[in-house]
Amino acid sequence: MSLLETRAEWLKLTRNVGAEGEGREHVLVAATFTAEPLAPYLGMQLVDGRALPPLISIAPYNQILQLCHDGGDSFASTDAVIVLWRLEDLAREDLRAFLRGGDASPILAKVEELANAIAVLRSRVSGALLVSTPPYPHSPDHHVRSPKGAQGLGGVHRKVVELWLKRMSEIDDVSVLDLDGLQRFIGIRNSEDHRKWYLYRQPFSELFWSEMAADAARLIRGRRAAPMKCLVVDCDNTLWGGIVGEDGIAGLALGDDHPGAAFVDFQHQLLTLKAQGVMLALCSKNNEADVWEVFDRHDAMVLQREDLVAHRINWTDKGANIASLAEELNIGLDSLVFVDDSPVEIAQVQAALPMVTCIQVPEDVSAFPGLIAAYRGFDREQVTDEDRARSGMMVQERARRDLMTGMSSEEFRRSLELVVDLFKVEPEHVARVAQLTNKTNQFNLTTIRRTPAEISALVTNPSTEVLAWRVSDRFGDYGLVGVAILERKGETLEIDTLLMSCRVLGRGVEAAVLAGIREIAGGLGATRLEGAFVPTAKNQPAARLFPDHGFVEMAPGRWAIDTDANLAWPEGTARPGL
Amino acid sequence: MQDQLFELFSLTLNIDPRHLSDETSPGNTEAWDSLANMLLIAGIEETFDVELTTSEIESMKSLADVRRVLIDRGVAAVA
Repeated sequence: MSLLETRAEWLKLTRNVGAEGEGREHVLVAATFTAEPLAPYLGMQLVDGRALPPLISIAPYNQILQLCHDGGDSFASTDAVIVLWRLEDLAREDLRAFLRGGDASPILAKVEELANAIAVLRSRVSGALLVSTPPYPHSPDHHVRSPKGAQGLGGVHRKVVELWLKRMSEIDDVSVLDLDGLQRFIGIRNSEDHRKWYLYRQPFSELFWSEMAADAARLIRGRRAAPMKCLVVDCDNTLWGGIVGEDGIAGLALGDDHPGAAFVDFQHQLLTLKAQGVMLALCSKNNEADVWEVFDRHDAMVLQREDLVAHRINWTDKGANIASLAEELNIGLDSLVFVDDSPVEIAQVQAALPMVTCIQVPEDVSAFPGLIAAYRGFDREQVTDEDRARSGMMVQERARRDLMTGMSSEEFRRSLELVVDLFKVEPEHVARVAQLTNKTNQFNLTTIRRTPAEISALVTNPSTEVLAWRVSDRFGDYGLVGVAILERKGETLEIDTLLMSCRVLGRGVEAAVLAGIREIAGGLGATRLEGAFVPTAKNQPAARLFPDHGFVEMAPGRWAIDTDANLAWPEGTARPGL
Repeated sequence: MQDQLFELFSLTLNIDPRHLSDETSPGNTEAWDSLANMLLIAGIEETFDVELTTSEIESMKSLADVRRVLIDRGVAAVA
């Protein structure tokens, strides 16, 4: 859709809706400049299945500080607030003084003042808060290409961005909308429109607004959507150039020269993604020995066997292989990305598994690393310790599976030497706990998604208990894998949320956790423990939790158990925590 | 062929094209406010592939003015 068509669609959608917010997603935009042109692009990015289009409202021009400090009920119904600012609007006179030999400190002081206001704003807004970085400042007094630019204004801009990002990282749950980076990407010339600035105090081109809207919408939606978990890659003409079965190891393009360097760069990208928690797997039509020979003997291979959590190297169709990889890794097909050079293989996978995201290696491989870098599905706002350790855990999982072969499930459980460490959530766990509420689909009783700010509020609320647990066994540590949110309601303790990573199911962790919760409930003076199972398309694995542990169904989907019931911590499972 | 200008104004201002004429102006049309003007300018520039100067933009005080600027720019479709 062209920019013109996008705006036209938005006008048609909102034609008879008016400015009433009832039943609509509400995004408030506050800027140091005229920001109305953002509305159509952002609105169209955010349109979803709802009956009514989102409401995009624009706060009064250049009144961010006033809004933050006494916005009153401007925020009452907002799902997201977006703050956009430019250095030349925030500190116009100070910038001019600086260009004439003055000091940079008044500029930095204004930035500090704005950062303080954002901290106040965060405490008033319950939804998403997106805050821009300042683009490179522009005024007729200087130019980005002036020889003094790099040390002079360029230096101030870098300092400002650094200070700003540090301050924003110290505020809980602020998403950074990087207008500085966006302007670099599309270019200063393409992002500015001086005519609109002088006519309307609106500094940007339609292209820049539209790209800004795409980034903002991704940040808003990304808060409640899980990032992709696994990248499945083909080998020939994907990990390396050429076909190992035909060209042999010596004939492959992989190394310092074109086209091999693009494949080396792709392999480095894979390792970076792995460090951020993305699992890597192979899916290749090949003789297995040929592939491993490249891994073991080619000097330029960056990726190593131990970087992979799983592989399917055979002559079976790739759709079937990818489905079995998803099953082995216990992840949904919609959290898989598949990279292959063959349009035929990609078409087959897309037809068989439409939920899998497919990326085709471009014909000109010099565009390949750039294409992967531009893909946003793996983005995580915060990388937790669990993300970083994920690949190692999958390798431990293989060892557990080998042990399980030929044992009864009870024997298996005992042989694991399971440790379930149940504890009350502290501020340092909030990021991980919120992440789990957003990405756990299968073993999740109520599937209530929560932001870090919402979790923090529950932690400090005296009538709620937020519990989490770490699980480990003799093969390794699973990390923080489960969350329960309990609410006191008189004599009853209500299980608002109980969820667990599927990786730890089937070994008695559920029984331990329920036993722990039952005792905590008793300790709080509750006589009953109650909870709901709210079925979704994906949470069937949690359906048997209540009936399998002695809960009685009082009404459809509502379960209860007395706190003095016989629900004991499983024998042989260590209990270092609560 | 429906007038492309009328089509653009009708969509942007949410007014039936039958109620538009060359006399339509911000003075007699409530919907033609400064926000709509920004949308109109962007729409005109992209529809007719022109980049207007600020004085041209400021001279557009009625639908007829818009048509005149575009004719001066050699946009045949609006003549």
